[in-house]
Amino acid sequence: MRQYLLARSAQSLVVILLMSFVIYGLIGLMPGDPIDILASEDPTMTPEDVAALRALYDLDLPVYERYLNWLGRAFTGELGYSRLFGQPVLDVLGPALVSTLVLMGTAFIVAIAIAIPVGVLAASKPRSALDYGVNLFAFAGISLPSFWLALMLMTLLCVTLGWLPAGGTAPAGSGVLEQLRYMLLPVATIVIVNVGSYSRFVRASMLEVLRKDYIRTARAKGAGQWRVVWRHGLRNGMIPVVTILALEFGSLFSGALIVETIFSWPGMGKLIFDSIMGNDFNLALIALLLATVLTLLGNLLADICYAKLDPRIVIGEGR
Amino acid sequence: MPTDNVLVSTRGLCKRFKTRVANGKGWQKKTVNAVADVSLDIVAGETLALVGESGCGKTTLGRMLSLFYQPSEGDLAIKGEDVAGLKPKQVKPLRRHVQMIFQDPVSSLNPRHTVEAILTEPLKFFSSDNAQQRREKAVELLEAVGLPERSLRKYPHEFSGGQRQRIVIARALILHPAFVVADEPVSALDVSVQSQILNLLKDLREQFNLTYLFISHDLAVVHHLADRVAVMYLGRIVEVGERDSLFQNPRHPYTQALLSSVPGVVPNKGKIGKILHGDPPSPISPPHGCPFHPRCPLAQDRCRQSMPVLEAADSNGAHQVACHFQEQAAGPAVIKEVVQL
Amino acid sequence: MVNNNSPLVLALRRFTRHKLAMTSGMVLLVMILLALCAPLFEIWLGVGANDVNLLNRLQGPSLAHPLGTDELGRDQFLRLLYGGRVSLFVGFTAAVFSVVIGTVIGLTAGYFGGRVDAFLMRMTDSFIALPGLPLLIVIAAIDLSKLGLPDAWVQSESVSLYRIVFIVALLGWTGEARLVRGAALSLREREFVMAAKGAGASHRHIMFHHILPNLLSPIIVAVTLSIGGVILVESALSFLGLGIQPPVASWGNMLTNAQQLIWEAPMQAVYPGLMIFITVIAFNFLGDGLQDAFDPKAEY
Repeated sequence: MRQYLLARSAQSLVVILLMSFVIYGLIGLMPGDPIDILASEDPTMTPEDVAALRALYDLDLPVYERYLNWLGRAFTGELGYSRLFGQPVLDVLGPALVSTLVLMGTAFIVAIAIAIPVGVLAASKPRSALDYGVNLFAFAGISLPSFWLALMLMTLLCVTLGWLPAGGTAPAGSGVLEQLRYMLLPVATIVIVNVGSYSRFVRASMLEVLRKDYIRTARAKGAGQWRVVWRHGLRNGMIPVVTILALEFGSLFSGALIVETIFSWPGMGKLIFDSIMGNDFNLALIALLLATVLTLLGNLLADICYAKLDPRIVIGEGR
Repeated sequence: MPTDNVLVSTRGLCKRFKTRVANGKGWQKKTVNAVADVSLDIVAGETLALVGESGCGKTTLGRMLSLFYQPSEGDLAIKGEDVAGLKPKQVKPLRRHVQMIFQDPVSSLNPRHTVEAILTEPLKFFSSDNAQQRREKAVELLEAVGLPERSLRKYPHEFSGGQRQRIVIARALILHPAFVVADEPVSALDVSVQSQILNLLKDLREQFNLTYLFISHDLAVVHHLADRVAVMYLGRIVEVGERDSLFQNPRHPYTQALLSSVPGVVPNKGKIGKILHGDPPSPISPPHGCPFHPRCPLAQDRCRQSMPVLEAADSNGAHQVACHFQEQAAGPAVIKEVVQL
Repeated sequence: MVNNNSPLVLALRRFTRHKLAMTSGMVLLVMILLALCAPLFEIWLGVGANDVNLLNRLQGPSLAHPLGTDELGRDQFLRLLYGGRVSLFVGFTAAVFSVVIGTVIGLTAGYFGGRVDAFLMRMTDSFIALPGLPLLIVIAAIDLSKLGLPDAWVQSESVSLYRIVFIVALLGWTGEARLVRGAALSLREREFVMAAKGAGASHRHIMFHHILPNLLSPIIVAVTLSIGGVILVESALSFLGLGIQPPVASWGNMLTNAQQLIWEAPMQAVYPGLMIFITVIAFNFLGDGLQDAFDPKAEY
């Protein structure tokens, strides 16, 4: 197990290093040029100043040398300033991470809270109306463009009915209720898109467990349908559920990019989008890297969860 | 021992596989000696049967002789040509002389190919025939195995198990090979179909001048088809001889145990006692000395210390046995135990 | 003469009994036909899809404009049809490309096994563990002229189309690679692979003539299911302004305009999104039905 963890961590590190180079290279290919942008904002700059700045920022060097210089600086904690926000990159990222976590965490908990009972019910009555309903809803969920759903909800609840604010966050100092009003639509969008697949997944793993021998034995012993389903089935059926959810959790940090952008929710997704669109190279670079690191971490956690929860899995076994 | 007209000849043939074994804490790399030190000669036109329990290495030996596995050690000659050390590219032209009939007629036919595609594939690589000529040859072979011409356009799933095995046989013979390795060709079939396929193999042997290596665990089947029989235990040949000599006068305690489990083959079966229990030892850690000694009723200290080699058991040397006590083992009364295959 | 009992034909026969999937197939067929016939509708209605008419802004449905007009007075119905052309084209081509990449990688890994497999699958796992959408956005945002591509090509209208096909395929092959690898891994143990080797076939011949045909059904399912996903990604990127660039119509960029008009003309946002939804769910149902047809034992 320890060997496996080390190997996996090493692999993740290699991927992160590779990705940092790829992302660095990609950012360099963005339209516009940081020095040109500076020059256009400051009319007093002479071409000599521009050249000096280029040298200062290593922009006259080939990309891999620039990358190595950047990497060296990054390791000393020097991540640069965000052009859009005029603050050190890390100061901008911190609050964004928190608000993404608040949004995604809430959506995640709500979706799971709905999916587990629905999935278990569907599994206990296969081929019932509920069962087909879950399946249909799952298909609808994966087929729904989240940006359209967001627009439709906004049109209905904010524009037509005027019940809810159309985006952003509550003004500072407002109460919990007011903050919840701002969160309601983004959370609802994410939940509607995901809850079907989650339920279907709970259903599938429940069905798997209910087919097992010890469940049949429990039934034969005379345990009631409900007792069987909840007591015996649920606990074991949770194993794959936890895995998949851990896997999902990894993508939560960046997965809400569209929803955050539409509802002007100041999280990581919107930050990444804005920094790319606003030529904020330092910020985009670090935000993307952070998203990569967190996603990889989520995947690693998922694998570990899987191994911990299922004693039959022997980790480190060769394929 | 036959000396003239040898088609396939092996000397000290070995095959080792690397594997990993759980040892409580983790995984340990181990080597399995699937086939160890096998020296055999197969004469053109004969059928040599290879018998033994599952896991004894008979399939591995068969796959070496049919050029699918490269030997780890030892010599292998086909038609006098050394093939053991050849590279895959050099082996390829030899394949037309050596073909294989597989055990499972479901898995050995590609479900997406028609019978025509299946039968003509070898011709694409080994002949300059055009499509029409290939089809004609396929029809010829279908006739030879007793299937109608219209089978060409059908897919494997449209046939019964026995019919599929006929297709497998037709594919093996379409290149007119000299040597055919048949690995348990009837064990996946219904008993009622088995004898049809065995008779077909017998007929084809005459018609196509074939030499068979016939791998089986079923001694009744072996008795039906074989000219000579080799008995394998834990990767080694422990007894080899003419069919009748071996069946009527088995010298190795293991062969005796094998034969005593077959009704109607062994003349002295009435005297057989209880069934030998236990599985054969793992080839990963074979016992020291004679591989059979942990299950042998005759085992003595010598058997635990030194490995017996094949020695002549009759005057002309056609019957060979690897047992320190083959003199004592001879005779019907000694064996009280039976191996259930 | 054609044999009507090939495994594929049998599966298609089972498929026709799958009502939801059949209906989805019909819907998609109609949609493809409509999209292909878009120029005919232009002639029939007497306006082009990109004809601006500022006097006719945001009209409701009428005989001249069956679904009304947008903020520039362009015909919504025609723009939907042209948007459909774009989405379906991107969906098909990107799905096919990513399946080709995934199949080659998965087949190589599964057939050869061992170190080749370990390396390729580590690579695939790493790809899967990347944050997809943010990366797509970066790649979609890069300035192609900085890559040294000719300016004339970079500025052409269709470049955004090819670019999106390219980037979606670049990140979309991982699922197929895993699927194909798993199937190839079990297929290579089948005796017909050994038999083919005995017949003198090369590795390449075995991979493409023996293993690949047996992967056909999972591959068809994978392509169908991934078209839906591709269309979603394409429309999301276009919606964010990074995919298909105006004035070329796409369902995604039509929604971008609609978002800005959400107070003025909320209905503008309904049709393009509905088209995306219907198309994607139809592809998903179709893929699901095909899966059932190919593997009748599996439950959904």
